[in-house]
Parts: sequence; structure tokens; C-alpha cells
Amino acid sequence: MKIISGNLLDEGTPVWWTGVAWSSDITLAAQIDPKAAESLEKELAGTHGQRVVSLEVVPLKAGGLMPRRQVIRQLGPTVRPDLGPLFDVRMGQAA
Amino acid sequence: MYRAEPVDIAVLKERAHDYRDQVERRLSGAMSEDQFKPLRLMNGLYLQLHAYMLRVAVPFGCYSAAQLRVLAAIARRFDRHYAHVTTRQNFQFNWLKLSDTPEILDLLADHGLHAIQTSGSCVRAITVDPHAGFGRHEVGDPRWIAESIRRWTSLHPEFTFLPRKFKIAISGDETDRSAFRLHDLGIQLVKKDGEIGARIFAGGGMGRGPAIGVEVVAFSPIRDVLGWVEAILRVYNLAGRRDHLYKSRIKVLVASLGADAFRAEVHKAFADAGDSRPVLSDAEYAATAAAFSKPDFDPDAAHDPAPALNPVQAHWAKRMAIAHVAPGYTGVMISLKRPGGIPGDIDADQMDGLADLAEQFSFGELRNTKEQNILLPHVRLHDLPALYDGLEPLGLTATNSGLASDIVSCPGMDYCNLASARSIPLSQVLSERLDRLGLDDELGPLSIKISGCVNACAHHHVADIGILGVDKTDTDYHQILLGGASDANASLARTISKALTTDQTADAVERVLRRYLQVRTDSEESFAACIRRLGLALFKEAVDAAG
Repeated sequence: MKIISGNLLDEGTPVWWTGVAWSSDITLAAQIDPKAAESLEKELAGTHGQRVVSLEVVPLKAGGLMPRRQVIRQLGPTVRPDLGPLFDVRMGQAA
Repeated sequence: MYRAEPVDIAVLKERAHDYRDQVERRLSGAMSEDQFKPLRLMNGLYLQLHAYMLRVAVPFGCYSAAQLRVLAAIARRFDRHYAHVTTRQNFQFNWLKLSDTPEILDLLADHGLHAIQTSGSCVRAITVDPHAGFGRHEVGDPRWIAESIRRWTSLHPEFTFLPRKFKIAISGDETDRSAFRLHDLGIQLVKKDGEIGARIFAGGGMGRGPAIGVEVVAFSPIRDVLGWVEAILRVYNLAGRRDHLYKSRIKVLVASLGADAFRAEVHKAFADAGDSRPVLSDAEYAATAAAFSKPDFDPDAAHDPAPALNPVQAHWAKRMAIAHVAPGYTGVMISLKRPGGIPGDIDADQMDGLADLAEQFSFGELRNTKEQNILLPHVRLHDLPALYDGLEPLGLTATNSGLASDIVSCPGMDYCNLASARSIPLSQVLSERLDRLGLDDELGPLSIKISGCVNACAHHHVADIGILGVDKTDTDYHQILLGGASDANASLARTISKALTTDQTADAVERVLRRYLQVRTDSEESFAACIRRLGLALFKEAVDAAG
């Protein structure tokens, strides 16, 4: 199976296609039949290209596991866990 | 200190103004992503794993304390409070929003900085020896030629759409610290019969299919250097391949034609240019040189008493101070490689603190090095204890310049879209281990460079110990290469291991280092010399030995 990922045009934040919308939560990524993924990606690029860019069809690993590049995109650099998705929340709390 | 001309500032502001309009049109939907992407890349903006990454060009790696404060402010206001020093002497920011980037480019332009020529198929930001202007054995200041080439090639219509990116490095010293033979075009300033001129190489490069550049011109008078650069670019522009991304660099053209035929083509292009050939007049060269003001060194510094260093400071000074042409002064390397740290990363507080120290102790000047460190070029020797005391609270007193733990590492898969493996975790494991074992000083000068893919951003091909990341079953694996060098004896490292896990790689590197200590003739025999004498087999055996 495959998933479709992209980045928000303005924020650059990684997002994944859930089947109905884009989410910054990789666990909500829709697993798509490989035969349908390429055409869906083209369709999404056409209809969502103003909001999400750099679309990519990503094959899942055996057993439906996420490739680690996608996990790193979700969680932030493995060497700086403090920079992950909660960075802005933490900075807000610090302020 | 380099000072951009008013015309340069005006061009940068105009460019930033254009870019603001482009971003607005993209965000409004008036411009498609396909239309916008090449424009943002021409302004140094990439889309990486986590967000937009901006590569800020630092002219020849040289910048001022005031410019560093601006970069620190950008890190705080728009990024996540840090920046990254690259192996091309630039800065990178990793967490930007597209809509913030016009303001960032405005800020950069206001302070003589920019992000053009850091992406795209053009002449990229030129790199030079970081000791430029103060090296004791310098033949000529490489920044003057670099700035002459920059002025002539920037926005030059003939060279804006080359087959691929084009990197130039320039050295003005007997000792090469710029790796000029590993660049698309390399220049070494040399002296012949009392005249300073240029020895010119082309066709070098790292990355896929690394190559050592071939000598194209043995000696060119300064006035003809632009003509030779034009001839090389013209031959490449016309004959370089545009049909295959991996075969589009000039090194592939040189290899396919052969060195002699390529050289003949360049000499023909030089001759054919005739009266249209650019000439660098004495007056123009002098005006270019004037862009680099010399510090007002105190002649009394020669008579300063020896600095009062405690033992820790003395150890640091011995390793980090660099001989200076001005009596009583020294260059000082600031290592961004503390044990377990991330090579090249510097946080905003450190940037501001370093800017203060540069103003206090180095005429406000700083430089980035291709080893991902920062250099204060003009420090009075008797200020060394005070400088150390200023660096200590900033966490910038790592004492390892040029030693094994001064590890160069690309961002790898922690940040980069292209990476096959993570690089930083291995650099952390190795630097912590070297610190724990205390091997640095015993080993002496030795380079370890870790790239996360074949693009070789960490220059692993020219390291004593190069490490290449490979992807295998979606896990970090690394191959070890040995015997690279980018100095006068430039050589490409050779692969001696199969793919190893991060822990296996760290163990194997330790065994190689211990083998070197066992077999070198004495502490004066460098790692490279030892390999030249003994070959690779002994070291491959050490890599292959388990446990």
C-alpha cells in the first residue's frame, strides 16, 4: 500500500492525505491501493496545489509500516526532538 | 573586512523586492508551484523534510559582527533559534515559513547579505581559503580574485543557465585549505618571476563520480583570469550535457573529452574571444581589492608580553590559534564540534555572544570554514585569555580544530530530502567516543567527514576517513572510505568496507585509528602518509576485524 504526502505551501509543514483532507498527523494517512495512488496524487496536485505542494507517493514498508523518512518528517529531527511539532507549543508556554 | 558596494546593495534590494512580489503572487494563487519553484530556488529557498530551508550566501565566508547579529535575529524571529554552518562557508536556516522569507531577504539585503547563487545552475557563491589576508605564506589575497569573478559573473546572462551548478574555490597560499582541485573550477595564486598570477584547474568535483581537477593554465597573469574563467565556462556551457542530471557537471565533460582535448578547447575559446575577452585591469583589480579593508593593527602588539594563559587555556591556544602575518596577532578557530554536539549548529545566543567577542577582539570580523567552524581572523595574542573566558560561557571552547573529533557532517536524513541515511547520529557517537577515549591529541591532525548520500556535502571523498551513508532496509548504514586528501597531494578516498550499521561503523573507525597509532613510524607521520606508505590492506583488515 502507499500513502501520499506533501507540504503546506506557506508553512512548509509536512502533511498527509487522509482520504478526505490533509492532516499533519501521519497516523491518519490513508493507505491507498498502489494502482490508484499515482492518479490520485495527480488529481490532488490539480485540486489542492494552491494549499499543498511537493506531493509525493510513498510506498509503505512490509506490514504497512511507515518509512522512517516519513516518521522523521512527522516527529522532527531525531537529533533534536525539542524541534518537533510541539516546538511552537513549548515556545508559547515559555513566553 | 569585505564591504559590498552600493551598487551591489541596490541590486540585492531590487532582487528582494522582485522576490516579495513573486511570493505574494504564489500565495494568492496567481502563480503556480511549477512557475514559482525555480524562482524560490534562485533565491536560495529549498523545501526540505520539515519546512523551508534558506541558504544564506556569505561572500567568501567572510562576515561582520553586525551581520552575525542580523543572522541571530533571523534565527530568533523566524526560525527555531539556531542556524547551521555549511561546508560551503554559508549559513542555513531550517524552519522558515514562505510568507516570512521576503522580509528575511530584505533584512539580509539591508546588511549586504543575500541568498542568490546558493542554488540553481549558475556560478555558485565562491569559496576561498579562510586564512585569506592573514596567512603567513600567502602569495596573494584570494578574495580579490574571488570578488572580481563574482562581480563579473553575477547575473551574467551567458552563465545564468549552465548545464548544472558551477562551484569555484580559490586559494592564495602554498597550503591549500580551499580544496580548489575538487571544484568545478579551482584557482591557486602563484608567483612566477616575481609576478603574482593564477594556476587554473577545471573538472574537479565531489559527489557522484568524484574527480580531481586538471590543470588548464599553468600561469595566467591576473589581468587574464576573467578571460580564462570565461573560456572554461563557455566550453562547459556549449558542450556540457543537459540531457542527464547525473552527467551534467563539468567533471563529466572533462572525463569524456580527456584532459588534453578539454584544455585545447578552453585555449581555443580563450583565443577566439579576441577583443571581447574580459580583461581585469590594474585599476579595476585595485578597486576590487579596496572592498577588503585591512584592520588597523597596532604595531606595538609585536612587543606585547606573552599572554598569561592557564594550562587549559594554553592547551586550547596551542590547538586553536593560527599563525598570523601581523606581529603580535593570531587567528583563532572556534570549533562548533563539542562532543556529542551537532556539527555546524550554532544557536542564536552563541551567535550574539560571538559577535560581541569578534567586536571586542577581532576587529569585528568572522569567517566560516568548510570544516563547519568559525574563525576569528585577527586576535591580539595578549587577548587570548580574555577571549577564552568569553567563549567558555557560550560553550565554544571545544579544543579540536583539525583533529579527529572535529567531524564534518552533512545534515543527513534528519533534515535533507536527498539523504539516504542520517549522518549526525554517527558524528555524535564518534565525537563522544573520541572524547571518552581521549585519542584526539595522540592521533594528531586527522579528518573524519560523514555524508548522508552520494552528493557528498560533507566532502567525504577527501577525508582521511570518509563515511558515506547508504539506505539498506530503511536503516542507517555506512561505508568507510580511506585515504582522501584535498591538499597539494589531492587524492580520492577509496571504499574499504561493506555497509555497516552506525555502531559497527563507530567500532570500525576506532579500530582504524588504533591501527594507525600502532603502525605509524612516529607521531610526525600523518594518516595520509601512513596509508601512502603501507597501502589500505592493513586498515581494511582492521575494519573487517569484528569485536
